[in-house]
Amino acid sequence: MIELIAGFLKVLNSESEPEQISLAFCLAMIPGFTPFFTLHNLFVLLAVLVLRVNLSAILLSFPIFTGISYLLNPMFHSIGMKILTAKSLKPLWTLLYNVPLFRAEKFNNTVVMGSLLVSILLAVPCFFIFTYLIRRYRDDLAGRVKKLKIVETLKASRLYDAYRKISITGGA
Amino acid sequence: MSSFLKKWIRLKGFAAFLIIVSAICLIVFLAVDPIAKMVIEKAGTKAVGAKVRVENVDVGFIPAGMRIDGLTVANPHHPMENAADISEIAFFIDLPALFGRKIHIDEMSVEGIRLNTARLVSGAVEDSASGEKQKKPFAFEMPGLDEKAFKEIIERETEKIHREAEKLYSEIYRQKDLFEKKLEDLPDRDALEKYEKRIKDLKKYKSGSFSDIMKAAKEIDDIQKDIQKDLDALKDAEKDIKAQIAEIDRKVDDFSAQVKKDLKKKLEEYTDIESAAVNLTELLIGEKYARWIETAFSWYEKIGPLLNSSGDGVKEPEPRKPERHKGVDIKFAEETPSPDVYIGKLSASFPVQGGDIKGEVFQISSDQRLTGKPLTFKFGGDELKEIKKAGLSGSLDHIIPGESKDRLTAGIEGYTIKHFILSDDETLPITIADAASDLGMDVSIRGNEVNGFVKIALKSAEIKTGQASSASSWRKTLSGSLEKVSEINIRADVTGFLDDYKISITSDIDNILSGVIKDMIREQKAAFEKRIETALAGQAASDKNRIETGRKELEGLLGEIEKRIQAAN
Repeated sequence: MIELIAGFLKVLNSESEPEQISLAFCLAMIPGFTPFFTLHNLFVLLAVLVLRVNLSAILLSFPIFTGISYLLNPMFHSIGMKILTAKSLKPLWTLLYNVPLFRAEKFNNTVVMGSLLVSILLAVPCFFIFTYLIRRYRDDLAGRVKKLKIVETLKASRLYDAYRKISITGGA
Repeated sequence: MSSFLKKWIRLKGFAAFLIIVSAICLIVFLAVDPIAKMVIEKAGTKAVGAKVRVENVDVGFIPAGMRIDGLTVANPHHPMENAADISEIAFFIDLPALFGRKIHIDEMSVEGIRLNTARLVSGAVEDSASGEKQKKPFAFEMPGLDEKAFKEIIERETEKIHREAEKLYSEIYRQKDLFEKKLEDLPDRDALEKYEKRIKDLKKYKSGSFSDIMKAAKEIDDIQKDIQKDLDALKDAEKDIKAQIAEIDRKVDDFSAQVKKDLKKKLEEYTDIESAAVNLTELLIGEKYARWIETAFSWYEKIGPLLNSSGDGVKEPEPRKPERHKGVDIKFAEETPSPDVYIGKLSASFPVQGGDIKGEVFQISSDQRLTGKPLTFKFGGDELKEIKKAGLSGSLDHIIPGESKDRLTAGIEGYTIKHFILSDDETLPITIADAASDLGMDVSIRGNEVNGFVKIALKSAEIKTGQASSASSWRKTLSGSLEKVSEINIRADVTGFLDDYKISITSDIDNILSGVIKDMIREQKAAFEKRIETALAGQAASDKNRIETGRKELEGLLGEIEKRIQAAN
């Protein structure tokens, strides 16, 4: 059982380059901010599975972004309302409104539009910011974190031992 | 494959995606029935404001459709009753329209509709504003002559009596003070003794000269004039005080008469014999019918907005605050506009004894402007076991927003009523044990304005009135008279506006019993008046004593003046 869990952890942590981790954060931000059961999250799921991103980073950051989205919800609604009621964009929205796929996507909902727009716009700068922060963490703070008592306790556990063996041997 | 692609692309991910999506589709396919059940119950409960429950849902994909078994919709105003209890609802749905978030159904069948069935558990929801409405305490007392009226009258009249008594009392003692001061200036015993002395002193002139005799004559004349002057003053004072006492007596009498007159007038305001008799129907059965009509209007107000949704480039009316994570759906112009919800034809049946009442509803639409057709319905049933003939038809025309025209007409012939509670009032319960009835109804609502009537004719009626053994004689008289009635015609007229309508209920019960009622009211009024007079007499006793005491004191002064007059004479 421990080996099974360790194997699962290996899969989750297999892509560990800073860019892979920060891309994972950016991808998690989209379903985190937007309502979960919307069509665009299928594309996010596809991206998560096809792109080599750190899955545990997605699993960890998704609930955090969901929590943040709860606080930002009124802002998403306001932004979505402004975008959807902008006169200059009305012809575009009218065109999309008559395409069943976009209707199914609920793009005409203020929260969906606002949160999707914000998460996509933030994804680009966040990617670079997260990458920078991860590199800084690894260069400056990682050593100090490894010496923390709790980390040493975890490292002494059987689970970590099994995980380390699997990571080195590739499960053999 | 380049190292960049190797670093970033996981080809197996496509397979994983397909597997996951397939798994999700399989789960949805397998779990769609319970999901649909949950969605119907949640959305229905929210829309109705009371519990909506479904026994079973069966969703089909090819063709797309649904069957709902055992749908119960609790009544938000009477949570221990179901507004509707439906055996089965079945329909096929237009799948392409569904992808566009529209529900289009060509035909729907609704079987086994029963209304107002009892529930085992309450159908109220926690945040529902409605609940079992508190039954307004209905005590069949004479209109206006209740304990509240009694207290009001006693309080007001007692205050008036106290005020007037205080005025009179002050007046009496003011007069008493004036007369006491006057009495001090009037000739008393001493003055009369002085006259006696002066008369005795005249004896010295007895054997005197002619001039002494003249002096004596003048002295006698002066004494006489003085005595007369004093006597006149005493008599004037006597006259004044008698006049004051008479004035006080007159004021007391006038006040008592005024109190009686005011009381009679006040009682007339509280009870008008004519209108009391006419209102008997409303007293007996008005509340029950008002509740039915109120329930009907509240359901109409729930349905009305569903026919009025707009759909052309205008956002949905924004709620006071968008529900968290829900936002607001902004609508845009459609190439081929169609309502969000449309049912072309709905066939329904209501099981009754000996058969079904069946009918159809056409053009159910969430936006009649787009269909250009009003909702129409027609139901009927013939030769059923307990109903000779029944028919219901009407239309809801909301094609032009703000100029809605709704109409409902209904008729039932030869409906056998058994054990129908006409009035559930504790003091005078009335049950129709058995009767043949005809019902007619015609209600129209234009915009916000309501106009309509419901009339019921009961023939060969057997009426029973429950009676407490301690019931008063007039209630027994009324019950006896009611139980002799075999035909009743009742009519309820509704006029006004949806948020401010007036219900007026009349029947020939009023004519049949008007003589009895008038006698009862007269008797009640007389008893009430006597009761008030007794109560007021009790309240006014102390004031009366005070005034009497003051009056006696004035009479005491009068007595003193009369004594002095007698002495002077």
